[in-house]
Amino acid sequence: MTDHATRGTKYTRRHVLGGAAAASGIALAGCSGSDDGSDGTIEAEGSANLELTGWSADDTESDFVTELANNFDQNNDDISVSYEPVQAEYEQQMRTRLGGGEAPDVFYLDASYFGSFSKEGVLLDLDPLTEVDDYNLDDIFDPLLDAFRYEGTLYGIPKDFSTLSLYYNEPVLNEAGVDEVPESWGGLHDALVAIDEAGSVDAPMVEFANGRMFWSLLHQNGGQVLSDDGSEVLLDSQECIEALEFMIELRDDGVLAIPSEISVDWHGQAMGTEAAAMSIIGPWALPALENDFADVENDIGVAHIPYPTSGERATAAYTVSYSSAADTEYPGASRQLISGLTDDEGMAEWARQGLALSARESHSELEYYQTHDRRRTHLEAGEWSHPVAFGPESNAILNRVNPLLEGAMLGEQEPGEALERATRQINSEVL
Amino acid sequence: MATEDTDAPEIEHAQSGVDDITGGMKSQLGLTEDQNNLMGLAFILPNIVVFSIFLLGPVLFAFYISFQEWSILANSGTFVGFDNYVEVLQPAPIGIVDGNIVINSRTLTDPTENLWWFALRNTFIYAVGTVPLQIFGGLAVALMLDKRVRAKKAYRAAYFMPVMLSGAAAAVMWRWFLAADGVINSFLEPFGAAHNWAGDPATALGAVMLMAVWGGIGSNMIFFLAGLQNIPEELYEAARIDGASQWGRFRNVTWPSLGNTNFFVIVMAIIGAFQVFGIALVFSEGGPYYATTTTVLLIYQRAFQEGAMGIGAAMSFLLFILIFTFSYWQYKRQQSEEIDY
Amino acid sequence: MARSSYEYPGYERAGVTYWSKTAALYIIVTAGALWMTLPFWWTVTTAFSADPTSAEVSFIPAQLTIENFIQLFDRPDILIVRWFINTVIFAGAVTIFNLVFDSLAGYALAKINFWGREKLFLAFISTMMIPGMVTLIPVYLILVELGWVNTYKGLIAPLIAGPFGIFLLRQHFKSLPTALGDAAKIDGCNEFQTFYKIYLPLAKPALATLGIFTFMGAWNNFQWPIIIAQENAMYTLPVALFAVRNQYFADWGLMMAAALIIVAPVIIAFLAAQNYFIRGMSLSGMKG
Repeated sequence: MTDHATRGTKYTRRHVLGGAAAASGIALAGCSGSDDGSDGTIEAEGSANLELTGWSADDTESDFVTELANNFDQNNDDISVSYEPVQAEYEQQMRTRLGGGEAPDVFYLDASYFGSFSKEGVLLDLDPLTEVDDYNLDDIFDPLLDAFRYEGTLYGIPKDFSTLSLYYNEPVLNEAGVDEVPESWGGLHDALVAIDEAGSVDAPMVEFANGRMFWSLLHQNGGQVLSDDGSEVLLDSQECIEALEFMIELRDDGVLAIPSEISVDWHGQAMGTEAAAMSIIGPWALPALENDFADVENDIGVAHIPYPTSGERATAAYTVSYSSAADTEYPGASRQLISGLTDDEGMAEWARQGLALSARESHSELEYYQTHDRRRTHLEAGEWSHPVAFGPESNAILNRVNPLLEGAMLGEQEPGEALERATRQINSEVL
Repeated sequence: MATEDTDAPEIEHAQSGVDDITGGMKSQLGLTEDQNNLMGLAFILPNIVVFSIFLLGPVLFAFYISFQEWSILANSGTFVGFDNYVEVLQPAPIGIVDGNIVINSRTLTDPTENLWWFALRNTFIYAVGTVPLQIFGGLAVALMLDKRVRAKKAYRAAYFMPVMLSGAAAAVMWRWFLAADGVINSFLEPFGAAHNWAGDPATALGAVMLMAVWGGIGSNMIFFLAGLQNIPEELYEAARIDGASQWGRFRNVTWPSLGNTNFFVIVMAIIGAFQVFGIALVFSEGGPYYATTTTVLLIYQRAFQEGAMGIGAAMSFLLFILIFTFSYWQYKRQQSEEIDY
Repeated sequence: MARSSYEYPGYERAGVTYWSKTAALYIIVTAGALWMTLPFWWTVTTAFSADPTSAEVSFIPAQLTIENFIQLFDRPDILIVRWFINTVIFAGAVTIFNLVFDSLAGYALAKINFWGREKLFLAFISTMMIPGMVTLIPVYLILVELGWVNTYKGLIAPLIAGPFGIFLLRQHFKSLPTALGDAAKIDGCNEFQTFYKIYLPLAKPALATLGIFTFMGAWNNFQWPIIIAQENAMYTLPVALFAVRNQYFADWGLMMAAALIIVAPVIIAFLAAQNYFIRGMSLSGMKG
């Protein structure tokens, strides 16, 4: 399913040995769960055999999680964990298994379809984790935690997240006379035009045909997708339309291309082959750049996405949770596993793999992020990020909006009309 | 040409004995003396068992779900009567408003008006464009490779190759070929005919259709080859002795004898065309801008991606009615044309 | 006796029109065959080439290597050998069951007169008109009830009676003359013997067809095993295509290598099945 392509937690296969080496050196000191039942810990129910599952972007990720699971296993005598990643059709499989009562104990859930799971009451509530000592739930970015709440109860803990930021090729910018990275929409527009005139790349900027950056732009302009009570979408508001118009303006001016127009599959490849000078993409592009396009890699800088002068900083966030099934045999042990996987040390270690960002605010102080400033930029944006998840009917909404965005990008639709249509359709059919 | 319809009481004299006992009821039900019910049951029993549990049961369950708002996760739903069907079908291309017949052609041209009708339109275009080519292409190749060409096995394998390659791999391959900078365009470039086949809403469906024909000829070739083996040599001899030309032999010997195979090929082709899903999904995910959204792809989106299982089931049954109507028509036609000797 | 419908007595002395028609025939057939196989050729070259990129077209790859294949066997999350075995068991069992049950059912629907025959036939093929994904969930739930999830039983059982096979064989048996069976019965055969001794041998091409399609369908099927298998060790081979694709952009080399491994047994099976495409029917001895 394309969820993965657009969400982007997919990394190149040729991952560095660094990953495997680090994975083997994990010490999860902080995750021994005790079952003495005292306040500040989670009660477990005697011995438990837990099944953990997720998808694996590549063998690095599955190696890492296997290591995590093994370590947890060793540190907790009563709990054994077996990890079995799903190879394809993850969402469909989870739905089927949960419906049939055959679900694993702990599993990933992408924020985009989290809502449709939580509303059915099939998830285990994780509020008890707020009371665990040393776990520090508050450290996790609020927008991310909110993405996994339903009606006030917490049903998932973010395992990581990604934000979108502006990637630019510095030499190309300088060559075109752009000395400073643009910080406003107007600035971005002018910079792109200048790059276009300098003519050293195939296209100044590249974006998917479904206009993914729109989800960041609209928030910058003060728009919102769902109304506060979640009963309707507000995509036809003036703010949203302006945001889309800005993106289409870039198309019309010939400075924004779609991947097939410049013979690439995605942004990372576009930046790496210098087919484009700028793009808005997430941290998963960095491993690709580091491994496959090492010669260009040093020229690429990461900045926050430019925002309109009358608006505010915002970006889109993609996040995945660890959740558990409501009817699991071992709720206590499952909660323990989740807290073990997402505690301070566990998350830091995962962050050091460089594939996604740690969901904990305090981790921007980590040495890793001091030395990897591009990823730090992504991490900083977490504060003003908006998860691409729109309630229980998120998939339905995206299924109806994305094709219209595509239509607008391809010139088949006017931006205003596209959003009005989408809003009408969604509000009548879906919500 | 005798017809074979065992459900109707046919032979008068066989009925009299039966009816005497049950006062005409048995013949009403279609039970005749010349039936070998026990044998029939014995032959068909394993299939009936598996069929009932794993095919019929689930189909009936799906039908039941179509009247509900069903959640896979909760494994339960609420009854909504015909609401799902109404939601799928409205707004319809043809309706009656205030006693007048109103035609809403937007349902067929604008995917946001009613995606079901739009998807049906796409599927229909796809079927019309691929089925005849697949069938006649398959027949032509089967005839050619039946006898006259040397190295038949190699050729047959070549034509069957596309069928053997799994749909996903084939779709990915073709997406690569038809890319804006792909092989095919590099050949068309000098003629100025290069185009972004997969990325242009106007041509994307055509690209999928091309792939379908490429992959479909091989199957039909095999079906026809199997059917051709059943035509006795003597019939051709007789025709030749009577002075029939090649075309004459085809028309009078081959084609009629292929009647049973034709029925199979046509029905399977229609079922396949109206249920096209895999290649549309892998090739272009239903895009760009709904261009390759077919009925089953839509069902997949609604039922699995969006969790609207009831709607998906309703759509499936509407599709079923469509396919069944056509197949039944073919079935009736076949029955009236049967040769039995 | 003429050897074929095109080789009539005296054809050796046929003139230009015959040979030009033959030449034209060969050209058309070969052109078509090329269209069918060229894409496949790309699969082969990509699987063996060292650095396939989407921007390049190489019909003759610059560098040959078997690296891709080695990778497939090396990667710990791709259990190629185990999956191969699973697929053999799965596809093999489904094919054998289908050959047996469907020929029995097809014969009955074609040649045995029993109550409700036509309606049953229509019911069978009607189930093919519902998209499989809609019945997927109920079937899964049934298997959960039976406790057959993640087992070979669960993988195979729902697929052993296929409407496809029943349909194919019914049509095939229908095209064989009833007179044959009548003659056998007069000689004292019962229904089963008639089926087994007279009609079944004549159905070789249809059985070969059913065999190859069922085998191929099961072999390439990944939608179904994915749902039934709960652990890596129970997957079937087509999953490899997805396990390999699990990156932001596809590694074509790996993927095509996987595709080749998947398709190879099917090709072998097809070539083997070709031997059964022989003319079985002869009317001689039936005159009068």
